[in-house]
Amino acid sequence: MILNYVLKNFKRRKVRTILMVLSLMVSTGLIVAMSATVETVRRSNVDLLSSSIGRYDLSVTKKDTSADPFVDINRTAPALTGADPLIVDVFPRLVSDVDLSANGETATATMIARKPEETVGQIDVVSGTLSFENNGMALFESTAEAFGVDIGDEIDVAYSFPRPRVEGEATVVGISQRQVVGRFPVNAIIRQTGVVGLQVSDGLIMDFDQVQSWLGLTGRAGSLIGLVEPELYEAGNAEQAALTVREVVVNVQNTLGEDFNYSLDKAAILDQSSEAFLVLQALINTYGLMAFGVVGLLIHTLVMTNVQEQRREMAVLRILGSQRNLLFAMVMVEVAVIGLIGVAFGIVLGQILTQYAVIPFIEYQMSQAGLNVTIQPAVSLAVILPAVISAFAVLFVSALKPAQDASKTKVMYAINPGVADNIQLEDLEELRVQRPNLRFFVIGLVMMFTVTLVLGLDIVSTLGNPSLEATIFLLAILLMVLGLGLVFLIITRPLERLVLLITGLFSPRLTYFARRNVGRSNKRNALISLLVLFSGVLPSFLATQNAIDTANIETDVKLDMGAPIELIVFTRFSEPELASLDWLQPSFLQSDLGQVEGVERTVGLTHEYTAGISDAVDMRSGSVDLQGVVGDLNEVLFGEMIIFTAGDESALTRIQTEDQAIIISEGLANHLAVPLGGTIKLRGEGLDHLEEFTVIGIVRRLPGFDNFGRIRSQAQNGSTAFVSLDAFHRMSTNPKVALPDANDPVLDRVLATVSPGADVNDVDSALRGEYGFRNRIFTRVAEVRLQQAQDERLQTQLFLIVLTLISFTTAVFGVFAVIYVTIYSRRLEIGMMKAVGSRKWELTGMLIVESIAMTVSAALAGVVAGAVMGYTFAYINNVTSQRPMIFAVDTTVMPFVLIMVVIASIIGTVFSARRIVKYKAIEILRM
Amino acid sequence: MNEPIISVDNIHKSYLMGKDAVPALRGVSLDIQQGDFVCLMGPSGSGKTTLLNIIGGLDEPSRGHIVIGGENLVALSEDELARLRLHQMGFIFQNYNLLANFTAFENVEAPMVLARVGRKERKERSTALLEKVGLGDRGHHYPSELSGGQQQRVAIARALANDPPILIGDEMTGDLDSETGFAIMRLIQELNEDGMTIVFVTHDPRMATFAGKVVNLRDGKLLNELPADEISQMEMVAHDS
Repeated sequence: MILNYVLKNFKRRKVRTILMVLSLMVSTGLIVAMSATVETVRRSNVDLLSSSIGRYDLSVTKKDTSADPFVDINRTAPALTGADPLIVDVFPRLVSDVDLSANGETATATMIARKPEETVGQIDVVSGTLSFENNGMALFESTAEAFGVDIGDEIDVAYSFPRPRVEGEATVVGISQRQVVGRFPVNAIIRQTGVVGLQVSDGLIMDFDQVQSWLGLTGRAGSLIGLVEPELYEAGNAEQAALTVREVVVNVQNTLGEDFNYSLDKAAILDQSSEAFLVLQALINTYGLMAFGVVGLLIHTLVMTNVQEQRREMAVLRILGSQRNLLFAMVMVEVAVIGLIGVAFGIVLGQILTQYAVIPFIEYQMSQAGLNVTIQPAVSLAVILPAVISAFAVLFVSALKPAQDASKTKVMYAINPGVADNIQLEDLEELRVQRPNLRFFVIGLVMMFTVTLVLGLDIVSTLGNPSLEATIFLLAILLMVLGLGLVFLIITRPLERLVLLITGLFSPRLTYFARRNVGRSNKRNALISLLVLFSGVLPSFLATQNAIDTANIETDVKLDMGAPIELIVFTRFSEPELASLDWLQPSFLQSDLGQVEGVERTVGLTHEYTAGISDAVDMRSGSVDLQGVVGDLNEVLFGEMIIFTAGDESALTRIQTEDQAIIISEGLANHLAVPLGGTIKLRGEGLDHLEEFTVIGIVRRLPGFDNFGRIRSQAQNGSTAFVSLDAFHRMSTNPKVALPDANDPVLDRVLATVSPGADVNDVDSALRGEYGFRNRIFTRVAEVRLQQAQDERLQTQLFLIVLTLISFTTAVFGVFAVIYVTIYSRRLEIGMMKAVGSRKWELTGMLIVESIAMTVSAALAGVVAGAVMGYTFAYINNVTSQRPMIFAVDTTVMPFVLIMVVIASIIGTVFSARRIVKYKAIEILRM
Repeated sequence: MNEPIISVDNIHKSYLMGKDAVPALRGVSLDIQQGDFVCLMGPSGSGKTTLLNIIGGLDEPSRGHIVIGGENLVALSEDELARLRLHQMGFIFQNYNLLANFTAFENVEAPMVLARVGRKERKERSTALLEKVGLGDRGHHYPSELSGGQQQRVAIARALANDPPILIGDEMTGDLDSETGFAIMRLIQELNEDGMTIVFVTHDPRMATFAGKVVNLRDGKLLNELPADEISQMEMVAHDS
């Protein structure tokens, strides 16, 4: 009987039923699609990550101090294979930097010599044939383009044999090495994924046996790479897989001994990435909760309306002897059937979205990043089940109150509804309440306070479980969005008035009616406002941050780089202990860099030497990172960014020549309580190495140098100070040994300017070509970096619009449902308006103005809330990082939010009202 | 004789009940002069409400003509009918049909807003109309804060908002107790005395005694038209009491 009744109800209220099913379908579909995406990417992660570093699990090379830098294949390969049963394949390789020459061009590239049967990575042939006949090679596409060579052209390859490093001593740069040069034809032009890491942009692949023979290395290889059982990664636990690989490598180490270096980059990167997926999944879960929350409100509203409409029928059932639990069950079964249909369709939608939209998009993004991978979608039970459980939990909660109300139906409803409703004085009072709801405001404040406590006191990080931490952190963010939304709900009322004031200018008659209906329907207003407001906060927050970031790109790039051109010795970041091997000589500035076309002025900075620092009498002390300056920084730095607290820019010129002068940060000056012209003591290398310096400049901000700042506590043990090159040499050298030569390599960073009229892109290419690989120098040109950063921002903006679109899809359903119910419940009023002479368009217009006033005011409140949060975050971030900030207003996402809301309101109203306004007045009044 | 303000000529009206057409009016003709106070009476299903709705431009006849103030309603578009209702007619319903979110004052003002009456004039006329129906001190009350009789008075004031020549009433006193019902009818009578044409439907013979003419309908046909003085003495007594 119940099911029969429910199915008849569906037939009677088709639009409402379709709305509920659609909203459930869309939200379930989106959540399934997002979860499936995370799961798909997580499963493809091994492949994706290893593509960026090479798709092998371990590599074994000889230590650079070994007498023979090559691996004996016959002895080592079997040992490696037998070291652990999980190792399934071993291949020899010879990977090395070589100098290539062709068409008058010379450059460094990576030579990869590998066996034809090796299955590691993927090679896509752009042109030619992938064969190594006639001693041929496969050349990377980018390298072929750089040299302007094609299939059949020949390239000279120069290989330098490595010389073992003496233990305890650094390799001396420039030492002569035995070099072999060969000429090889290009048989194929290729792109590679996972053969070697993505960082190898220029390279060539040759046949291993052929290279062995060419170099006279029979039986020997540069390295052995090993593959472990692939099933190891399919368990889904990246951290566990990484730890198992580590065990394998420990076994290999025990077998082969200490003469080898062992690398397990893939396991390491997999290990690092495992937490990122936890955060991503937690984000999806949090978003899912929000989306279902909106759907829950929608279903609650519609079911409650159904119950109110069915009151009389239910009362008749009660008169006929129906039990209360039957009425309760009727509502619950109705919602359950809707849930089954909506969720089932949602799962199908999720699969379709994943298969045909998300996965192709990810693959496209990967291909843009140079990764040509095919991703298999993973819509598993583990992905679907949480969404289904969440959906039904939300449905249950949404239906509970209406079902309880239904079960409490009094028989009086069938006899005298007016008496049964028993309207109380407070119900009447509600009509008059036009003040903002302070209760919501207080609840919002409490939520915000809780979030501030949780995040401010850093309670989350004490939990120790990354998954739990990520979930709680995101729940805190969700709570903050909700709290902020509730706090800002208070401004929807004045904003409604503002919107109505504006619509009143264009259409005073329609606004006359809308103003009264909007202002005096508190419950409906609060519901629709919350639906829209919550949906608007997060996109506006992210959009504001993005707008601020975009507006500050130039400032950030200038503050990061310091000068139009920046060169940094790469090992400073990657292998600091080996950085000294790559330090540059001061003469590099003029004799080398200065010769590059487009480079004008240059300044060198020495590596940092950490010295003790104190005031003249050692009362206050700390440490400081000393840098010697070679050249006038005023000539290269972005001058408008420099702020001196004491002294001026001339100090940057004087510091080159004044032997006992020092420039320190404002924070350090405050800590030491030393003024301009004051004396400080530096404690250098060796015992009793103390020197006095005079402060010639106190800096608050210097572009390119983060450690010049005003915060005293940070400066105590971590600020930078400038001295002359001579002073640097003195302080960083033990007085008992001879001072280094003035041209000894000590520079690890160079700042420069671009010549007037030079093409920055050409300069950027020239610098990367000249120094990028050959000297392991990281080069950046500010204008090029600025362009890249702007492009990245555009991508972020696109992502935000997609996020907004998704976020508002459920909200639109909510708006639609509330408007529909509102119009339906006001049909008598509409009938009366028609009877007294309202025309169709006037009624539709009045309802549209009402909807727009309610939704736009809520969207504006959401936008304001999100923007306030965005500005607050950005301000705090900039204050702590001591950077100036240009405030900016998002002009893409936030208007998009408002436009979406207006469109949703208009479509929702026109659709919902279209039938009722078509009826004759008398037909409506008879309903 | 003057041109009638309402001229109903051979009106037929049928409703579809499933596949069958059920006739509600079968060739009714009726002329109503300016200033008439006409009551439509008849048992359930006689077609009195259908006729009233057609006269009020709320429904259209299946056949026949109806002319109001020289305009043939059958030839008018829906928007033109709406304009005619706005300016030529006032409506009073059994269940008042007031706008719940509007105060009494605003309910009276609403038709004037639709008719583009200026704000100052609206205020003056709304105040005057509420005074006229005896609710001068209740203008700021919402319908839910008023009794049934008071709500119906607001509905009467609203019906008079655009100063229409015709007032249409459908069971105006149906939801009210006798005393309040009579009070409402007395008010309507006063309006008629001021020259307004009144057409109303009632099933209550006591209320019909207020009319100048009673039109009886049976099975969709006009049975007879009786002058007011032929209404039974018993009902007059009830009315006087």
